[in-house]
Amino acid sequence: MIGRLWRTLRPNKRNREIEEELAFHVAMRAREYEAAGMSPAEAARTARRKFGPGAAIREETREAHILPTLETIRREAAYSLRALRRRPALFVTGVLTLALGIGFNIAIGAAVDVLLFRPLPVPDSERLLVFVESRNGNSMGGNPVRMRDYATMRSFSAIGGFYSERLATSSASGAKSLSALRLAGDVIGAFGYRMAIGRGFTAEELQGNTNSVVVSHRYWQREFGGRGDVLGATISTRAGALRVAGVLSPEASLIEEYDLWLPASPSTLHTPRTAGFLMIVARLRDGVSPAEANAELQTKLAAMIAANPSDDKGLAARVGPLNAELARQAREPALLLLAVVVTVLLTACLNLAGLLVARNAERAREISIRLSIGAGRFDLIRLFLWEAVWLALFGGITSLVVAQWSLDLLIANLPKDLPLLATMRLDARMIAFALAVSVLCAFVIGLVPAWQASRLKHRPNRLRAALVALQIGVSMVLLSAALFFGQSLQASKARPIGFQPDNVVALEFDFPWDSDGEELNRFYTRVESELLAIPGARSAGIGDALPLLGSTQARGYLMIHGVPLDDARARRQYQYRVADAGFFAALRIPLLRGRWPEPPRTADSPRETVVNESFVRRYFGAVDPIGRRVSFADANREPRWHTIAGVVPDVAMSILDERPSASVYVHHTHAYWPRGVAVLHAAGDAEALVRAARAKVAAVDPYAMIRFAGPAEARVESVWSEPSLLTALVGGMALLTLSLVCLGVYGVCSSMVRARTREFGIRAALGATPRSLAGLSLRHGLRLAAAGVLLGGIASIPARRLIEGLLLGSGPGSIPTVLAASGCMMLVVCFACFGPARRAARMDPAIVLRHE
Amino acid sequence: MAKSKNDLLQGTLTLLVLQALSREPLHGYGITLFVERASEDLLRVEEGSLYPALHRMEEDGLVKAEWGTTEFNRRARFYALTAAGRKQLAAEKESWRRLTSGVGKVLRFA
Repeated sequence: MIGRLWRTLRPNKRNREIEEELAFHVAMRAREYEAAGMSPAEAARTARRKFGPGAAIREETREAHILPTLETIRREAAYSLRALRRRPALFVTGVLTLALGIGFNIAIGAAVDVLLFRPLPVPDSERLLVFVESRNGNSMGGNPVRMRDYATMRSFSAIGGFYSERLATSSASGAKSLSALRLAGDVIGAFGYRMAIGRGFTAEELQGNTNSVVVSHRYWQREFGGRGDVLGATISTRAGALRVAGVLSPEASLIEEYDLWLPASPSTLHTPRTAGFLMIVARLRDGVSPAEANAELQTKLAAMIAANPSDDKGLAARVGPLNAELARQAREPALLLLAVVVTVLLTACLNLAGLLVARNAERAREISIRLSIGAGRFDLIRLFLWEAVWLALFGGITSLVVAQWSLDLLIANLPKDLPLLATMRLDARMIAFALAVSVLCAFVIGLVPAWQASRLKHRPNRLRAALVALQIGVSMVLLSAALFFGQSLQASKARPIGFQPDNVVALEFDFPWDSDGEELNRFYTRVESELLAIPGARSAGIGDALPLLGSTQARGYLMIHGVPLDDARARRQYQYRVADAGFFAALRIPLLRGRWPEPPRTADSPRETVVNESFVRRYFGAVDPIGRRVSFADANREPRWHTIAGVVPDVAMSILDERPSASVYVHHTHAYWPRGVAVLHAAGDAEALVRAARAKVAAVDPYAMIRFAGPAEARVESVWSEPSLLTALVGGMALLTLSLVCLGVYGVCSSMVRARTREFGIRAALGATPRSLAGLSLRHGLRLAAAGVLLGGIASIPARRLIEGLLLGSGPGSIPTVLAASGCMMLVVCFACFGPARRAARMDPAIVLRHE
Repeated sequence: MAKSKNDLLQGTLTLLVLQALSREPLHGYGITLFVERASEDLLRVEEGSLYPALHRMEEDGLVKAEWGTTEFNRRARFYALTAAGRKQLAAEKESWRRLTSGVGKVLRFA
């Protein structure tokens, strides 16, 4: 079979052989006749004549070796390719629209592949589990003390938790910031990573009392030139000298790159049980299933809650494959984008199907001739399908270029905390995917036109109109989705944020979690006073994070002096934030009641706090809160009373349309927070101010880790970058489908005008005004639009429910948005009909006569 | 294109070709000579049918072909029976015998 296929496709050698074989036969016959007495010439002639029609015999002999249908198909393919080449406009439009449609699909497909399907680059990745913990339904991070309880479970062969931070190294050239993964437990073992050289950490080192460090492969190459004598070398940091114990193999940097891996400090490893800041991973022991591990975990949890009723009450946990957990988080946006690009492709296909219907309509003659000489229905369908196949094939090949572009663009615009996504690429699988999508497209765009053309009594314009209406419907859904996103983004930006980030410089710090609290406080206090010394400074302050950037700190149980709070949930439903009077002043958050707290001189100074309006409403109602005392300590500790000094208005904590939460603000002296932010409200050139502020910080501490330094306005604006990217993507795709709709409507309207040229001419001759003629063709387009818009509008409403989770709050309801989209679509259709309508309006009866 | 003009004829041709090749490998011209001589010129093989038939039989694996040299030192394509060809020859001989004896009985009966 394979041989036959080969001979069908490569017939030349065989043809020569048949030629020679038959020539031999004729020559032998001639020799026979010559022996019987004929002259050589006469013998040759007779032999040829007796042999019969040489060409036919050659052909028939040749056919013994080929698959008959395959040969026909080859001929049809070549024919339709030639036919397409004669219609370059159709060919180019078709290939380009498909290239865009398929290309976007491959690009997004590659992202979805990485996010949802490709296993993590970890040995035996499906046996690597991650802990998902929550308390009273609120998800929370892992805790090193709780983790030690989990570590006694039999289901795991290795368990460890980690968090990342930046470390300052000092060298002759100044401070340098390195990314570090701080470890609690056997993280390297749980991931299953190996060492390139040297060793990992001993169990004793993992208790935290060590200066051993493991470095990444790339750090080793970069800083030590890949030399073997790196073991024992020292890296000096602010906290002391680290000694290199080993170098990780390159695979350990595939998920995320960290320069240094080192155990967390002993104090971090012994935090209160309620703090949560680790990601805990565990490797399943051989022969244990994830379900068994989960069952053992539930037993363990019950025991933990029984042993620590106050800390672990309401604790829930499960383990799931890290692969699946990461995929779960990414599923919604990934599938949304996939749906969007599939919609684009569908519109492109419908557009092309319409074009092919029009094209086949021009071939009515050819079709009837083919039918009359005995072509079957199936033969015709096959023949016409070929054009779609060629378009899809060329479109598919071109799409790889589009896909590569879109991938580059996507990777450049991605948030940087998704390093796995940067590994997206066009590999053999994606190319196979492109091919499969192309074949599918060929059937979508080819089958209906081919089937329809194969019927003698066909009505191509009707089918085409139906296709365009469908196209309008599909792109309506996308347009509505784009409007949903745009409106929700706009509404989110329009919501009052309750503070003014203009003319404010923000400096975000990133100190290690085991920094000394006293030192941190001295640093913050000095930075604040240094900033105030900058010329033009109006106010400066310290907080834990700018508003809008989300909530930050873990919180203990709320207690109000003299007021019993029984409900455990109520005692945790507040935000515990760091801010001093200067912070409010710089962001121009006014004081509503009371006074600003006195800045504490030492950690033992009386504690005063500020609360927001929601806090007052929630916990005090009509009672005056000023002077009342509250505590935020853990339940099993002595309460530490803070006196409420003042009340501030609510500020927005996130870009989502959430109800403002009850918040309490304490001074940084009374809270431990190494990732604080300093704000400076000053008049003057922003860039010069940022430079001056950086210089001041460097003067206070040359090793200070600054994560961000710049205008607070830009920093706040950046929280919209992800939703903006999503909105821009969906919006761009919606525009693309709109332009395809334009093409489709234009095509249908102009061929309608062409088909009715005679009728229009007669109408013109009988006195129809240009306006009424234009109206006729416009009405045709609008009828299409109405059908499509109705279809798409109905589909948009359930579509909204699917994207609800990605919208920034509720915004206006679906109906007004869908109506707006409908209006927009109608305008687009009118625009597309404009050209044909004008042609109809200018119809000259004389031309019509000639048209006949 | 039409597959064959006459199935019965073609079936017979296959039998004749297989029989011709059962003694020694022959080229196409040799097969025609053999059939003419052996049938004492009662049968003549149509060249127009012979070569397509030979190539089909080659595709079906009944014969295998090889380029060789004739006694006149010319290049020619020689056909030889394969094992499958031998089996086919036996089967066709048997069915031919049944056909002729059947037809003969019918003719006698009339």
